[in-house]
Amino acid sequence: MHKTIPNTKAYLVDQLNRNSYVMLRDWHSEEKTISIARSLGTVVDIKTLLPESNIPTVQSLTPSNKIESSSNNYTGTYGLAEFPMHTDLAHWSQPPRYFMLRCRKGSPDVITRVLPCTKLNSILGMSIFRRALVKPRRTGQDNILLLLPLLFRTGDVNGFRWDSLFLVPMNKAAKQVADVLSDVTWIKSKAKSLTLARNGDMVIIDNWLCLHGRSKISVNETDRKLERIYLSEIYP
Amino acid sequence: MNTEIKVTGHKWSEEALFCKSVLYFEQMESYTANEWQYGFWSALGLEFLARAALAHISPVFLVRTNNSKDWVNLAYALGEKPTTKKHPPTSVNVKDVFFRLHALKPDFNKEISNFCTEHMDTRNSEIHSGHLAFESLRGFDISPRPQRFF
Repeated sequence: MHKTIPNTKAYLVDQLNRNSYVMLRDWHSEEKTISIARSLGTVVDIKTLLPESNIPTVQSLTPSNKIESSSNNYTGTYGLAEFPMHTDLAHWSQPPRYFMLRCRKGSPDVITRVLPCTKLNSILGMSIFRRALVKPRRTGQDNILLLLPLLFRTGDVNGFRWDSLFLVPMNKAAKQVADVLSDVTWIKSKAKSLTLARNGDMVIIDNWLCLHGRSKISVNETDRKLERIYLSEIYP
Repeated sequence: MNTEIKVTGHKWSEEALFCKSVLYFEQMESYTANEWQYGFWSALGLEFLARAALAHISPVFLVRTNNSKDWVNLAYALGEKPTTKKHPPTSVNVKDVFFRLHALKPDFNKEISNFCTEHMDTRNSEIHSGHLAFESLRGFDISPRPQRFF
């Protein structure tokens, strides 16, 4: 039995359905992130899915220089520089549908960009997306490497994946998508810019229907702290 | 909607097989029908398209079932990890793929099945002998026959 947070829950679901993301300001800032996530939907337990990864269910995201961490993640690769637009865990066979970013220590000058995939339709036709194939940069469990479609379908929902760090384009269609998504000027003109400025600010993103990225971080904003949780479902 | 999450795909999944057929058919399309590579890549594309069609019904139909030890292939098709590295899971040979498709889907009729089987014979001749099988097949057009089914 999950707890229902009154009043704003209907707004949250409506905005997610309309825009594929929802931004909430100072939302239940006194509550724990895991409690909020469990009240909203089904939390993905990464520890169960990938026991050897040591990735906790609630992940703490703090900026750091790339020399300080691994090259196997965004912070390790890009450090304080801008994160390119991507979907999370795009190299998984079926990535988590939603994720929640919750601000614990804000920084008003850092922008989280959100780009609904529908924006891509205006410059690339559906046939390009349907044909686009990628491979994970690294082999997965059991040393198996399989092709992945950029566009995948479950039930009546089309999902989209993209990640220039963890995926490698394998055909012309995928390279066309990669070219568009490397056009920073175009992305900035089409993406929504959000700021997680205060403790309790929160954004929930439909990871199948939106790309996201982050602006660069100045050295005096390195105390920014977000918490991230993946969800497979948002309760209606 | 509660959406399933899968970290790793399956080698015999419809998705993985279909993606591979798309990649091979794109190789085919980069040649003209007057080049031997056109027929060669079409054969590889056709095999994976047929396997994807069978996996669409169920990956279980890709299981090789020649003897009692082949239960390990069945276990793998059903999502179990391979029981031993010494004997990796083995799927059915491509001619049996066409046979099973024909038996399960009447639209995959005798004419299409025969065409696919003949095309695989050409492929086998190409890759298992010194015969330039696809060089002899220049000008061949794969499109009208199997496309009607797939």
